[in-house]
Amino acid sequence: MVNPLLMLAVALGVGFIFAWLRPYAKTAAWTLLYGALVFGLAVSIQWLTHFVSGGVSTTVLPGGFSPPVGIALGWGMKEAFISSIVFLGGLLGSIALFKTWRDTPSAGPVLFLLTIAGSIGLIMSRDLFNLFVFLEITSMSTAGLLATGRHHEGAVSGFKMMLVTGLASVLFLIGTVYLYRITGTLAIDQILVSPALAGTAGFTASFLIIAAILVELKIWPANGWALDVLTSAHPVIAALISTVHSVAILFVFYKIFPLLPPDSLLIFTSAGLMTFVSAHLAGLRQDNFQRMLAYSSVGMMGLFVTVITWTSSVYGHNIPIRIESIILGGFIITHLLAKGGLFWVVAHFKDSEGNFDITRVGSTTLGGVIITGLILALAGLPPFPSFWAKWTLIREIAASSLPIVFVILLGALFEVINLFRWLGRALEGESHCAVHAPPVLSGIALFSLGGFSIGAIFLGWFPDFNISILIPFSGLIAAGLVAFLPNRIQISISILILGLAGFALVPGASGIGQAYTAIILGSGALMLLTKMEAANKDKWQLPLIVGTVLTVAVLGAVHTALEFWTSWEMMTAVSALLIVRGKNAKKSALMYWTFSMAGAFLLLAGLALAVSATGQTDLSKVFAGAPSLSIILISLGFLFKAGVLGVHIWVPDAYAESEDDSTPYIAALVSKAPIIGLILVFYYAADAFIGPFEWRVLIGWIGVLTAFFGALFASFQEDVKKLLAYSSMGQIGYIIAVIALGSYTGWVAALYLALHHILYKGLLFITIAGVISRTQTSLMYKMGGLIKRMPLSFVAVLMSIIAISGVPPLPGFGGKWMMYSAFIEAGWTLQAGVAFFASGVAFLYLYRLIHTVFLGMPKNEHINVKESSIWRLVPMYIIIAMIMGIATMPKLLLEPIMNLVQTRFPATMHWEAANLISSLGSWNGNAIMMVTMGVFMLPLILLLFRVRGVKRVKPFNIVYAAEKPERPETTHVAHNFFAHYRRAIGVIALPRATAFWRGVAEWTDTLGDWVRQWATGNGQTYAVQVLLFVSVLYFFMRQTAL
Amino acid sequence: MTLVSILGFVLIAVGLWGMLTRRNLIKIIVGFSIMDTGVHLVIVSLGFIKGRTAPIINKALSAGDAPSRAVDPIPSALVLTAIVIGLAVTALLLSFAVRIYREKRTLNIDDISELKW
Amino acid sequence: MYIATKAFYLFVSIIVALVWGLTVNGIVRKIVARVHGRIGPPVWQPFIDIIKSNAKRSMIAHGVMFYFGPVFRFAGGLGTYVFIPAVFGSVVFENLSFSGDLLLVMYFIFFGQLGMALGAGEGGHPASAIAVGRGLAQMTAFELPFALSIISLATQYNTLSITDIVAAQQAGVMSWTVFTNPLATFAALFALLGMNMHSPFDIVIAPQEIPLGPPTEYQGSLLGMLHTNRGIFVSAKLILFMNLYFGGALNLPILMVKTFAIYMLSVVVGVAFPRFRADQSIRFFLGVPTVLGILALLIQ
Repeated sequence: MVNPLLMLAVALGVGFIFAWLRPYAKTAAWTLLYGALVFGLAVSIQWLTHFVSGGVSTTVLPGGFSPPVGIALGWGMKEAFISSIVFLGGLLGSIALFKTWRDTPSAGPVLFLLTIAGSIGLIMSRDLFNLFVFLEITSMSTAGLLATGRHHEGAVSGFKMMLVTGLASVLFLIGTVYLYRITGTLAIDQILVSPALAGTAGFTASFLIIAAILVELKIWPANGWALDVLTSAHPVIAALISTVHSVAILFVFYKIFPLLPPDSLLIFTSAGLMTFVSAHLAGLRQDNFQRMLAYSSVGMMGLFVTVITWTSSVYGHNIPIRIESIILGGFIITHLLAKGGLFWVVAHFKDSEGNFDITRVGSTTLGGVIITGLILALAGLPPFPSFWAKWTLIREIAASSLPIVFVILLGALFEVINLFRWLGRALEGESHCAVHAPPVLSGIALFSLGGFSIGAIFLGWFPDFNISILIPFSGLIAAGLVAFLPNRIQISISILILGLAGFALVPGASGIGQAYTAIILGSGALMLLTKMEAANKDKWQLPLIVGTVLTVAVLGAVHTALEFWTSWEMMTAVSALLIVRGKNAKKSALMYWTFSMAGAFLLLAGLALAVSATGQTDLSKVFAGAPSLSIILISLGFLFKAGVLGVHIWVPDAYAESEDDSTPYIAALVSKAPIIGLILVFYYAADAFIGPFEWRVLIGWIGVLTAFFGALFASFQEDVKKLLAYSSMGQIGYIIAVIALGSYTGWVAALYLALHHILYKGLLFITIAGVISRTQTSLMYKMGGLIKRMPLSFVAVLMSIIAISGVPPLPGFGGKWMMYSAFIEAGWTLQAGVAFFASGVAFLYLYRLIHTVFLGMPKNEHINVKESSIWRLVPMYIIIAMIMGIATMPKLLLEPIMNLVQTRFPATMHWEAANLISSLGSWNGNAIMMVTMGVFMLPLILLLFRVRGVKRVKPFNIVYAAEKPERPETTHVAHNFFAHYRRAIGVIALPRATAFWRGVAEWTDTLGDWVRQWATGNGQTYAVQVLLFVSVLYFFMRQTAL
Repeated sequence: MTLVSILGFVLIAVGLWGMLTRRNLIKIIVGFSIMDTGVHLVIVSLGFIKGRTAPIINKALSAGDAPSRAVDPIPSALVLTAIVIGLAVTALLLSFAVRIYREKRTLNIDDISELKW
Repeated sequence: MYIATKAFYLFVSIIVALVWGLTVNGIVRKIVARVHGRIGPPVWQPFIDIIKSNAKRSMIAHGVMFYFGPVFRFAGGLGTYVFIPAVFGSVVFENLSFSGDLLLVMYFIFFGQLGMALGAGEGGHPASAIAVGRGLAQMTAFELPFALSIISLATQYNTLSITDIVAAQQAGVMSWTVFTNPLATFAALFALLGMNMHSPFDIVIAPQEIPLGPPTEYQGSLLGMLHTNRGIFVSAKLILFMNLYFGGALNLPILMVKTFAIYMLSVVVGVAFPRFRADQSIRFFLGVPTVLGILALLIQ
C-alpha cells in the first residue's frame, strides 16, 4: 500500500515542479501534472477497495510524533472515498481545462493542483490548526484560480470571497486557540474526549470554529459570496469549487461538528434545510444557467448538512455504514458527476463571447442524451445513485420527523421543477455543434455509476429490490440502440421488446397486478402498430414510447414499496420526456412534470412513513399496516397523478401539446398508473380509509366531481385533443369514485371501466391522430363533413362515443350499470346523481366530437383528404372487434374480473346463464345485443324495401329558406357549439383551479425573487450577513445549550 | 484575560469596523490587516504564562527545564504560521484591488457589485 | 316454439303501443289546437301523416349516416318500449324486460336520440345542428332530476327492476310512489315536461323557426319512420312513468287512462306557458326540480 501522504506530497511537489518545468519541457510538465492526478486517484481507489474489503483505518503521523505534540492525519474508508471523489473531479476538470491552459499561460494549473492538494489536506488532517492552514491554502488557491480568467469579474468575486472567508478564518483561528487553551491540545480526537469541552468557554470556542465552517459551506444566508464566485468563475473552476473543494470542507464539518453538544444538532439541521429550500426557491428565478447551478450547489450543501446532523441525531456516533454510504455517498457522487458535468457542459457549449445558450446543448443527439442523463441524475431519478440516496434518506427521516420530510420534499420539488424547465429549453435546440470529452466522460461515468448502483442492489444493499423492476430501463436503452434501423424494423423490435418484457414480468406478478401488466403491454404493442404507417421523422420518439409503456406496465409487477416507488419515478420521468418532445409542449410538459412530481413526492412521503412505521418492505404488508396519515398521503399522490378536479390543470395541455402519436400512450396507458396504485392501496389498506374521518368518502366525491367537471370542460373545448383530454379526466373520475367505494360491485366496475377506457380511449386517440395528420389541424371547427372522406375513421369514433356514453348495447353500458348499482348499494345516492349528471353532460362533448369533425359541411381544403393508413386502421379495427366481443359476451371478460375481486370482497353479483344479477337488478348483455340488433334490423330492412333509387346529393343541397348557402364556414355549425350551455351554467366552469395554481406559481416566484435579493453583490453586505448569521446562530445555540 | 488579549480584541473590533464601513478597497484591506493583527495578539497572549521565559532552548534554558520555566511555545509557533498566512491573504487582496482598479478605474466597493441576484 | 310465441306477443304489444301512442298524440294535438282557438287536425292525423309520408318517394340522401338516423331513432323507441314491462302480470305485455332493469331503459332512451342527432348532422343543415345542440343541452338538464328521482326509487324499493317496483305498488292507491315518495315523483314529472318537449321546453323542436328541429332535412319514408317512432316512444315514456310512479297497470284500459292522464300534465303546462330559451330551460331544470330530487334522496 502506498502511503496516502504521498498523494498530497506528489500533488504539491508537482505543482512547484510544473511551474518551473513548463517553459522548458512542455510535454514533460503536462505529463507530470496529469500523472500526479492519476496517481492520486489510483492510490485513493486502491485504498478504498482495501477498506471496503475489510481494511482497518489508520492514522498517519507525518512528523513522527503523536498528538498533542505532532499532527495526526486520519485515513480510513470515508477519507479514501472523499479523496477518490476529489481526484476524480480534479482529473476530469483538468482535462476539461487543458485547452484553456495550453493556449493562455497562467498560474492556473499550479493553483489547480494546490487546490486539490489542499482539499486532500482538509480531508486527512485531524488537527485544528492544520485544518486552518489547509482552509487558507484552498481559499487562496481558489481565489487565485478565479483571477486567472480574462474578465475582471473573477477578481471582484475573488475579493468578495477572500473578504468573507478571511472573516471566517478569523473566527476559526480564535476558536482554535481558545480550544487549545482550555484543552491543551489541537488534535480533534483528543479535544472531543476532553472534559473541558463541556464548559461555556469550550462551547463558545467550538461554536466559532463550526460557524466558520458553515460559512465556508455556503449556508444561507451567509452564501451570497459563493453564488457570485460560482457564477463568475470559469465553469470548470466553478465545478471544482462546487464539488471538490466544497466536499472537502463538508468532510471537515463532518469531522468537527461533534464538538458541539448533541442538542444543538437540530439547529444545524434547520440551517441546512433553510439553505436547501431557499436556494432552490431562489434558483427558480434564474435565467442564467450557471447561476442556477450555483444555487443548486448551495442547496446541495444545505442538504448535506441536514443529512449529516440529522443522522447523527438519530444514530449518535454509530451511524450504520450502509445508510451513510447510500445517502451521503449517493449524493456526493451525484453532486460531483451530475453537477460537475453540468458545469462542464456550460464550459463546453459557451460561444466565443462567453455566452451560454442551453438550446445548443440539445441540438446534438449526444448532447441531448448527456444533459438529459445529468439532469435526471441531479433530480434523483432511478437508476442513478441519488435516487437510492433520496429513498433511503426520506425513509429514514420519515421514521422520526415528518415535518423535515415535507421541507426536504418541498425544496426538492422546487429543484426538480427548475431542472426540468432547463431540460425543456435544452431539448428545443436546433443548431449543431460538436461535443468533446469532459461532458461525455462525466455522462458515461454517470451512466456506469447508475449501473453501479444497480450492482449495489446485487450486493445486497437493497434486499427489497428485484432487478426485474429495471426492465423498462433496459427496454428503453435497447429500443434506443436500434433507433438507427429503418422504421418498421425498429417498431417490430420494439414490439418484440414489449413481448419479452411481458414474458419476464407477467409470470412474476399476481392477481390484479398481473392482469394489469399484461393488458398494458398488450395494448401498448397494439398501439405501436399504428406507427408503421410512415417513415419515422425522429428516432427518439419510439424508445421513449417503449419506455413509457414498460414503466407503466411494470407497476403491476412490483412486490415491495421500494420497487413500486422506483417504477413510479421511472414512469413519471419517461412520460414527461415523451411529452416534452411536442412542438410547443415545453410549458405543458413542465406543468405535467410539476404536478406529477408533487404527486410523486406525496407518494414518497406516504410510502416512507408506511415503510418505517411497519418495518416491512412488502407492498401488501406495508399498506396493510400503514398508519392512516401515510395512506392519505399515498392516495393524495395518486390523485395528483390522476389529475382529479383541482389538480387537473395539467391534463389538457399535456395531452394536447404532446405529439399526436404519443398522446394515445399517455391518455390510455399512463393514466392507468394511478388507478392501479389506488386499487393496490385500497386492496391492502381498506381499513385505513375508514375511521373518524371518512377519507374514502372524500375520494369518492372528488371522483364524481372530477367526472362531472371533466365532462363539462370537455364540452367547451375547440381543440379536439383537449376535448379528449378532459374526457379522459372525467372517465378517470368515475373510476376513482368506484374504487373509493371499496365494494365488490364497485371494484368490478372499476376494473371493467379501466380496461374499457384503455380500449376506447386508445381507439379514439389513434383515430383522431389519423384525422389530425390528414387535415393538419386539431381545431374541430376547421374540420367537418369528413365522414365522406374517412368513413372507417367515422365508424371507429362512432363506436367509441357509444362506448363512452354508456348507451347500450356497447359495453360502456355495463360499466355504467355496475357503477350506479354500486353507488346505490353503498348508499352513495348523491354521488350517483352527480355521476349521472356527468354522464349526461358527456353527451354534449361526444356529439360535438363526432358532429363537428365528421358531419355537417366538409371544408373546401379537406375535399381530397384520404382515409387513415392501413397501419392505423388495423389496430383500430382490432380494438373495435374487441369492443364488440365484450358487448356480446361480457361474461368472458367479467368473470375473470369478478374472480379477481372475489379475492378481496365477498361477491354480491352472480351469473344466471348470461344474466348478471346484482342486489338491485340485472343486466343481460347478450340479450341486449340481440334485442338491439333486432330492433335495429327491423326498420332498416323495412326502409331498404321502401326507399330505393335515392340519389346522393351534394353537400349544399339542403332546404334553406330562400338562400343558397355555399360556404361551408358559414353553414357548418361548429364554433362555440354549446354557447347556450355556457350561458346557462358556464359560471361553474370558470377556470378557478387554473387561476389558483397560477396564483401559487406567482407567489412562489415572488418569494424566490425576494430570497435571491439577499445576494446584493456587495462584498461588505456579505460580510455583514456573515456576522449576523453567526450571531443569530449563536443566540439559538445558547438557547438549546443552556 | 490579559491586557494584551484585550488589546487584541479591541484591534479585531477596530479592524472589523474598518472592513465593514470603509468604501475604499484599500482601506478595507487595511481593516482586514488590523483585524488579523488583533487575532495574532490574542493568540500570543494565550500562550503567555507570567514569570516565565521565552521557549527557546539554549544555554539559559535547558531542555529539561523547559516545561517548568518557559511559556507555552505552541501559540508562538501558531502565530508565526498565522502571520505568514495573513500576509499572503493581504497580498492576494491587494493584487485583486490592483486588478480591479486597472480594469474598472475604481476602488469603491459599491461600484463592483454588478454581479448579483 | 317459445320464441315464436314470444315474437307474436311482442308484435301484438308493439302494435298496441304504437296505435295508442299515435292516438294520444292526435288527441293532444286536437286539445292544444282548441286551446289556441283553432279547429285543429283530426284525431287520426298522426296515422295520416305516416301513411302519407310513406307513400311519398324519398329521392335524396345525404349519406349513409343520414339514412341510418331514422333507423336509429325508431330502433331507440322500439327498444325502449320492449325493455319495459307494459302491463303488470301480463304475459303478452311483459315484453323483453328480462334483458335488464331501469338503468337499461334510461340509457336506451339515448340510443335513438344519439342516432337521430348523427343522422341529422350528416344532413348538413345548420338548423339541425342547432336543434341538436339545444336538445342535448336540455336533455342533460332534465335527466338530472329524473336520475335523482330514479335513484331515490331504487333506494326506496331496494331494486332497479321495473317489475318489482310495480309489484311493490299493488297494495292500493296509497302505495303508489306518488304518495309514498311525492318528492321523487314531482322531480320526475318536471323531467317529463322536458322529455315531452311541449312548451315551455319546445325550443328544441321550435316548430315555427326551425321546422321540426333535427328532422328538418328528412322527407318521405324516412320522415314516416320518425312519425311512427313518435307513437311508440310516447307510449314507452308514459308507460315507464306510470309504472314507476302511478302503480302500473293491470290491464290495457287502466294503462290507457293512466298514461293519458300523465300526458295531460305536459299538455296543460304546455298550453299555459310560453317558451323558454335553451339556457333558461337548463337553469329551470337545475333549479326546483333538482332540489326536489336531492331532497327526495336526502329524506330517503
